[in-house]
Amino acid sequence: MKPYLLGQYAGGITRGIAWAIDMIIIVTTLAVVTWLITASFGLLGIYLQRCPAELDSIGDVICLSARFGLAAFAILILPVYMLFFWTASGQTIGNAILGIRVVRVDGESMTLQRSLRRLFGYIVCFLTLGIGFAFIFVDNQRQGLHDTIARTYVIYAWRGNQDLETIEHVQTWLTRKKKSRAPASKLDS
Amino acid sequence: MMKNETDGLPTLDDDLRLPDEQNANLAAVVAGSVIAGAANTASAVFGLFGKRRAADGSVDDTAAQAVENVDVAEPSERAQTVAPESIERAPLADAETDEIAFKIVTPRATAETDHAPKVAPPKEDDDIHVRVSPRAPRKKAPTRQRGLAGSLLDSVVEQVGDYIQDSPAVERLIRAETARILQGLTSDPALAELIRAQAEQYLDELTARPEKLDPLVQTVANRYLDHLLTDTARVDALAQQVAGSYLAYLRAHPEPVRILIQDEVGAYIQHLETQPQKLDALAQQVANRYIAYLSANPAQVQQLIREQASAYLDLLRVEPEQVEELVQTVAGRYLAHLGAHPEQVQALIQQEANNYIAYLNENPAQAQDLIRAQAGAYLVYLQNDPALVEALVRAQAERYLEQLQENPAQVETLVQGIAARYLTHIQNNPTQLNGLVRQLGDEYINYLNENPDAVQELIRGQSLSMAQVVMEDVRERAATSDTVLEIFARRLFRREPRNELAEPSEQVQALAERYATIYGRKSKRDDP
Repeated sequence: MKPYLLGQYAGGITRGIAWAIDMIIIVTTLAVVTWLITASFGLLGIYLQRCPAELDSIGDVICLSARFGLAAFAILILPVYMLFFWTASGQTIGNAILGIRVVRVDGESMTLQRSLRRLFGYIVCFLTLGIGFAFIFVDNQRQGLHDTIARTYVIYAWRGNQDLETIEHVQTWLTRKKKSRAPASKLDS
Repeated sequence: MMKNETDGLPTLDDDLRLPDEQNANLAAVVAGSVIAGAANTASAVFGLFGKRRAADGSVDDTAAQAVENVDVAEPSERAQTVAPESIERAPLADAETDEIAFKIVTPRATAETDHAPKVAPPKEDDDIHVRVSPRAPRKKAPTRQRGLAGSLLDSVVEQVGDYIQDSPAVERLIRAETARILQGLTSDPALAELIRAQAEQYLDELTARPEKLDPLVQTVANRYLDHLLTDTARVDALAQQVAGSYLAYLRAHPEPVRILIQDEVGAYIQHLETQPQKLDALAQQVANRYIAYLSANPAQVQQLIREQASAYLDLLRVEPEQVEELVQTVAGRYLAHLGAHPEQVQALIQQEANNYIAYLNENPAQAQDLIRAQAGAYLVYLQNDPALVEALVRAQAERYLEQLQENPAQVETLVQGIAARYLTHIQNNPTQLNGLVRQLGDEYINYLNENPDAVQELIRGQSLSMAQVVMEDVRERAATSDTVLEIFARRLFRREPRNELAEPSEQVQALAERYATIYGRKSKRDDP
C-alpha cells in the first residue's frame, strides 16, 4: 500500500467530510440569507411567514414573490454552488479544506458539461437512497455512481501521507478476529 | 659434436656421431683383425707342435680357420649372449649369390691378453661387423707319413711346443711382432682405402635398406639417451651449446623468427578468441599467480616500482612534451572510468580522506602548519575572486545541508555539542550572557517598534501555519480513515481485502501534481 496520497483516488470518509463541510456552508448561507431577507421584509411590515393566499395588495405580491425567491434560492443554492466550484476549480470549499479535487478521467480539468452530468449523477444517487455513493467504498477507483456517470475521479490534491501503521494495525486486528472465529464456526458446524 | 657448416645448425646426426668412438671402432676393427690373425697364427703354430695335432692333424684351411677362431674364440660376455643369434641370422656368404654377409667380431679381452695393441677396452657397443669374402683361396694340407722318426719328432716338437707355450719370452716376441704389424697396418693406406670402401658400401646398403638402419639407429639413439641420462653434466653442456648455437642462428636471422612468432601468436590468439572461457581462466590464473607473487614479495614489488618510476621519470624529464601528452591521455581515461563508476570515486575519496585524517590526527602540529599554509594561500587567492568565494560557500553549504538532512542524528549531535560548548561558556561567563540578552532584547524590541507590519505578518504567519498543521492532520486522518473504512466495507460486502488501489493514469497524476504545485504548500511530512 502506497503511503503517499498525491494523485491517488480519494476515499469515502474524506469526501463525506468535504460534503458535510459544503452542506454546513450551504445551510449556513441559506439560513443567513433567509434570516436577512425575512428580517428585512419584516422591517417593512411584510412578514414572509404569513403571506396571504390571495393577492389583494402589492404587499401580498411582494410577500409571495419573496417566499418563492427564497424557495428557489433554497433549491438552487446546492446545484449552483456545486456547479460553480466544480467548473471553476474542480473543488468545492469542503474539497479544498480536505485537499481533494474532481478531475476528468482523461486528466483534464472539469467543464460545465461534466459538472452538469455529475450533478445529474448526484440526483440519481439520491434517488437510489444513497446506494450510488456506496460504490465509493468498493470500487477500485473509488468512483461513485455519479463519478461513473460524469466520467470523473476524485483525487487527493495535496502532498501528504496516510498512516500506514494504523492501517496495518486494523488489518492485523481483523485477521486475528477472523482466525479466532474460525475454530468456533467449525465447532458449531 | 660437429656442426653442419652449410647452415650453421647442428644436426642430430652430428650429435650422435662421436669422433672418439668412431676412431675407437676403427682401431678396434684393425686391432681385432690383427689380433685374430695373430691368434690364428699362434694357434696354427701351437697346433702344429701340439699333442692334439698328432691325433688328427686336419688343418683344412688357414683362412677359414682363422675366421672361425675370430668368430667364436673367447667372446665377451655380451657377445656370448648375442653372437649365436647374430651368426645364425647372418651366415657366411653364399658363393653363388656373391652376397656379403655380416659377422659379429669381438676383440679379445685385454684383461686376458696383455699382448693386445693399445686399443680402448671393448664396450658393449664395440661389436664389429666384418665382411669376410668366401672366395679366399683354399689350400689342401699335405699328408704326412707317420713313423718312429715321426713319433720322435712329435715328442721333440711337443716339448718345444710346451716350452713355447709357457715361455714368456715367446709371448713377448709375439706381442712385439703384433705391435709392429699393427703399427704397419695403421699407417697402411691400402688398408685405410679398404676400410673406406667397405664403409661406403655399408652406407650404400643401409641407404638402400632403411629398415635395417632404423633398428640400428634406434638402438644407438637409445644407448645415447641412456648415456645422456646418466651423464647430466654432459647433457647440460650439450644443451647449452645447442641453445647457444640456436640463439646465434636466431639472432643472425631475425626475420624468420619474427614471422614464426607472428604466426604462432596469431594462431594462439585465434584459438583463444574461439574459446574465451579458456582465455578468462588463463588470465585469471596468471593474474592470481602474479598477485600471489606480489603479495608474497612486497619489498621486491616496491623495488620494482621504484626502479620503473625512476627510469620513467628520467625518460620523462628528457621529453616533457611526451609527459603532457601522456598526462592528458591518462587523465582522459581515468576521468572516463571515474565517470562510469561514481561509486568507485566516492570510495576512493573516502579512503583517501580517511587516510589523510588519520595521518593528521597523528600529527597535529603538521596538520596545523598545513592548514595555515593552505588557508593563507587560499585566502590570497579568494580575495582576488569574490564570486568564486560565494559560489564555493554556497556549494559547501548546500552539500553540508544535504548531508545533515540525510543524517539527523549527526545534526543533533553537532547541535548538542555546540550548545553544550556555548552553555559551558555562558555558565563560566554570566556577565557576558546578561549583557548579550539585554542587548538582543533591546535590539528586538526596537526592531518590532520600527516594523509593526512585520510583527503582524509574523503573527498571521504563525496562525496560518498552525491552521495548516491542523488541516494537514485532519486530511491525513481522513485519508487513513478512507482506507480503514474501505477495509470494513469490503469485509461487510464479503469482498476480498485489497492491498493496492488501481494506479491513476499518468495524466491524472500529472494534473494532481500541477494543482499541488500551484495551490499547495509543501507539507512537513512530505514523502521524500
